[in-house]
Amino acid sequence: MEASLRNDIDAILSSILKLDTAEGLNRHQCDTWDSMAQVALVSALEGEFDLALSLDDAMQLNTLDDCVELVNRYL
Amino acid sequence: MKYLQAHRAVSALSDDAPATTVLLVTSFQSENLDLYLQARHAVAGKRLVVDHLPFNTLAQLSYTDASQEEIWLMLPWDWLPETNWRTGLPPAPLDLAEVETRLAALEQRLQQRGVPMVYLDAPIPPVMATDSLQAQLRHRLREAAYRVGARLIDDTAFDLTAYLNTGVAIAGRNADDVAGALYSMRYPSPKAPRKVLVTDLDQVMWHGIIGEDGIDGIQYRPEGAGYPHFLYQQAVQRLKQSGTLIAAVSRNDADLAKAPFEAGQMTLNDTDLVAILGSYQPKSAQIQHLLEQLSLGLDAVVFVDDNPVELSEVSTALPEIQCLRFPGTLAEFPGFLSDLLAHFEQDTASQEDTQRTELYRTRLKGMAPVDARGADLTAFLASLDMTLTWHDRNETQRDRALQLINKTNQFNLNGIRWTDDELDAVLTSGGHLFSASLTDAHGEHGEIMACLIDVEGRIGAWVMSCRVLQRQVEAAFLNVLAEQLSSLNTLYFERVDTERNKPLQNFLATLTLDNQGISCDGLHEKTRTARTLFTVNFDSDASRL
Repeated sequence: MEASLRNDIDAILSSILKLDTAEGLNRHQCDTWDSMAQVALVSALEGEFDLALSLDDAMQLNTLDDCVELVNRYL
Repeated sequence: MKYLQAHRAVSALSDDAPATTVLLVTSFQSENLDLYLQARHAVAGKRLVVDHLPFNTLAQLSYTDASQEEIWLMLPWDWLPETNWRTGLPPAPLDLAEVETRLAALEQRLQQRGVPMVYLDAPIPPVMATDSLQAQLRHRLREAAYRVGARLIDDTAFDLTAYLNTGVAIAGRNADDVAGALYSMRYPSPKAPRKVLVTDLDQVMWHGIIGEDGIDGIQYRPEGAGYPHFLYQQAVQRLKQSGTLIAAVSRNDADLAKAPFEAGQMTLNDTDLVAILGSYQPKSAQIQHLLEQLSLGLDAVVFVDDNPVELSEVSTALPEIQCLRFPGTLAEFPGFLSDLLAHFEQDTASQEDTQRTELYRTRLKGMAPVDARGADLTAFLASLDMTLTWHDRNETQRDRALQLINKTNQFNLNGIRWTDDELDAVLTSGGHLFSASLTDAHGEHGEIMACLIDVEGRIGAWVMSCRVLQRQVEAAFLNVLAEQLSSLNTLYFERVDTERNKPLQNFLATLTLDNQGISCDGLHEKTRTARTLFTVNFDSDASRL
């Protein structure tokens, strides 16, 4: 379950950043992970998991781990 | 559709899929809709490129002619910029009369532009002097959207937090629904309204059980427990007047089921219904028997019952039927009525529509007894004293013919729906639109057949109302057609076999076509016997060619 969720979120994040995987990636070290990508990421997570993320939480997403942890918290 | 599912749908699209580009006209950040919109197209085998407007240029665009394919997704502040949350409140309340003038001007521009549009009925800040004026303004904005043909979606799709902080108006969890609304505006489905409402009686048509409470114990008046049933009867009556056939099925003795209608005290009486069936047979069996008598398909039917067991029985046995549950509470009632009426939506009602119940009641009187099925019906048909009246619809009164072409499924040459403009193109290049009406010993069946033929003898549309199946009208019609178009030598049927036009397929098989063609002489010969069952008249507009 956990692995599947991580795979799905990796697929989402890497599709937005146009990478093969987002494993090990940090927002501050990735050129394509800009504010537009952040907005797209939040929308995609909300669309995939039927969530309404708070703005504060959304702004804290800097890694794949952050995304998995946040989605787990909302589910 | 979820995000990854949408992503997979787009990724799976083949490289040679036809591609189109659309300008998604919004005043907000709408890129999060792109994937879902592309996925909707991908599922239909189409590749979509989505362009977006430069920031703050929507109003400017409304003054120009469309230069590419567009679809608009409007918010209240696209109509009235003072209602935009991001620009803050206006210094003074707005004047409704002045607002009216501005809305009317934009309405006019958008109507001229004629683009598909979705209106998101988002909440607006308090810009009017009073709550009442504020409510009037929101109403007026919706009205403006309706007037330009927009589809409305409610405010649940709007995300104020995201809009204020990022400019994204549509929450991610609603993006697919909004994309769906946009897609359906871009590719509206052909309307396929249902034709028959089959309704339960006890606790639906009236409150109470007729077999237990008796005719004096049931309630159907606009008071107390009878109120929703009174409103339901009014809605059913409206459907009947716009051409829907109404039938009742009830697990009752037939005389009990009919008694309240025959008593004449309710909104509906027995002449409003094409049949009232009372039986202890399963309702699916009753419905199936009725449809066989009416020569209508299961997918023409909406069935209403209050009992989930009955609904389940019908939907299991006859899955093509649309089943609706009569609500158990008043709170659910408005939604139910809205759902019910939507299944039968029609833009216009022709005279045929308003008389349909009577026409079908005529058909039920005139049809062969059930136990005579399979026997030679020639003698029975001859006894009906049928008259076929031929109409040339090239110049006038083509509405009914076009309506028939666009709503008939079973006896339909190819299932293709035609627009007025397409029809015009065929007729102005020398083609013909013919139709025919039928009367018999039991009364009038109305205009029941339509046929569109181009100048080279290619029959592009040929349909017949299923209520006159099994009378050999189709063969008699072709006999007259062959006579009318004898100068053409050969007629070609542009036939497409669909899932539902089996009656048409069966009939064409009797003609032994050669590459879908047949000589006029051959056709005339093959249909000669059927012609003898009819008296054929030509109406005053139908001059022989």
